[in-house]
Amino acid sequence: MTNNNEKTEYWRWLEYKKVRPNMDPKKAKIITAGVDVGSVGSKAVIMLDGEIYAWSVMRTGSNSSDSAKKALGWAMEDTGLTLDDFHYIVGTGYGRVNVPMANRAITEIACHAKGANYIWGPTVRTVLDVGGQDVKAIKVDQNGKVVSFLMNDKCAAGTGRGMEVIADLLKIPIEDVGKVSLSVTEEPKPVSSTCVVFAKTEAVGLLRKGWTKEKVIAAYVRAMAIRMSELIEKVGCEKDFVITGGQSKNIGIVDRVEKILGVKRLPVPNLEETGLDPASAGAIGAALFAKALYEKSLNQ
Amino acid sequence: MDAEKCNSCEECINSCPQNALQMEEMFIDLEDKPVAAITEEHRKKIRYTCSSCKPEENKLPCIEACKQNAISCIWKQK
Repeated sequence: MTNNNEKTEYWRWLEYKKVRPNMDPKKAKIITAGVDVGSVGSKAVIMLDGEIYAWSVMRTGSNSSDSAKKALGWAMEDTGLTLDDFHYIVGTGYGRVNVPMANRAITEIACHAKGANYIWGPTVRTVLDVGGQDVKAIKVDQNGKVVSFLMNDKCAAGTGRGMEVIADLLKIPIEDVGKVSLSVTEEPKPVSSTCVVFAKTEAVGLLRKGWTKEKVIAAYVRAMAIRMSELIEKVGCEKDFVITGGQSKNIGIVDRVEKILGVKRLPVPNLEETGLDPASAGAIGAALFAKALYEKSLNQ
Repeated sequence: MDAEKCNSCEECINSCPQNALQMEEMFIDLEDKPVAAITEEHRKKIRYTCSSCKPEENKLPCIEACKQNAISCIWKQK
């Protein structure tokens, strides 16, 4: 059955996977994987001796364990690896207890801290992770260990999922939200609520008042950025600040958070070549923990 | 709660009149260690749970009970 009135899903982001061709799993001593089942996105990272080899990012379905299987299965495609080849697998994220092939689960806060330390190096001290349904501000030490953290997980306020809902409402493709939000000549007053439900109502009201889509999205993105900045300020923003999670790709958020806090985040490394994806920081950290745990088990 | 400073003595748990704390296994330095943590029930309303202990004076019984200085109150009273 075809449906000619099928609606374009503006919130739908690009799912992707990649295998680095110049690496050979047969030569690896330790093969580990990190699977981060978030509320909105599922990420899998395969590491050979602690170096990223293959990765995938896809949308989490209605079932956490299925999503975990699919994400890792997709990352394993074209690698010749089977589940038996893995020495250790760590599950993390919102659905971490439902990663069936994982040897153990670790909280995403520890994994994001570890992952950020790996991606940007030991100078990183403040990590803002903007997830699908929560925002975390994490302070880390030079070893990637969590010093303290604050989390807003009361609702989807000011998170990736909220951004998806607004993108869909305003009919702006999710990838373009940041750019469009920065196209306004003057920064509008932020929407008064970042709660998805109220913000949606407020956005509709602003459109009726004659606001342009650009102005409305700018008002929403600004409100999100203010909210995130407040969270970072509560844990204390130190130098070498980074943003992880899907919203790290939203330049509208990044730009505004930087301006509000008066700091520049460290640049995102070349993802295509290295696999160092800020959205997969949790899965990267999990794969690193998997390696450390496997090595520890050998020494016991 | 600074899980690394926690020595699993459970003093804070016994001192909390609201029963807002419990021991939980936490992954620290590649090991599972039992540490004090806020219960799931109180986690999202801890500000209200703790308000009866007058946090503006920063003398919550749990903070007083903790010899390791592992507990601190981060919010500012308006």
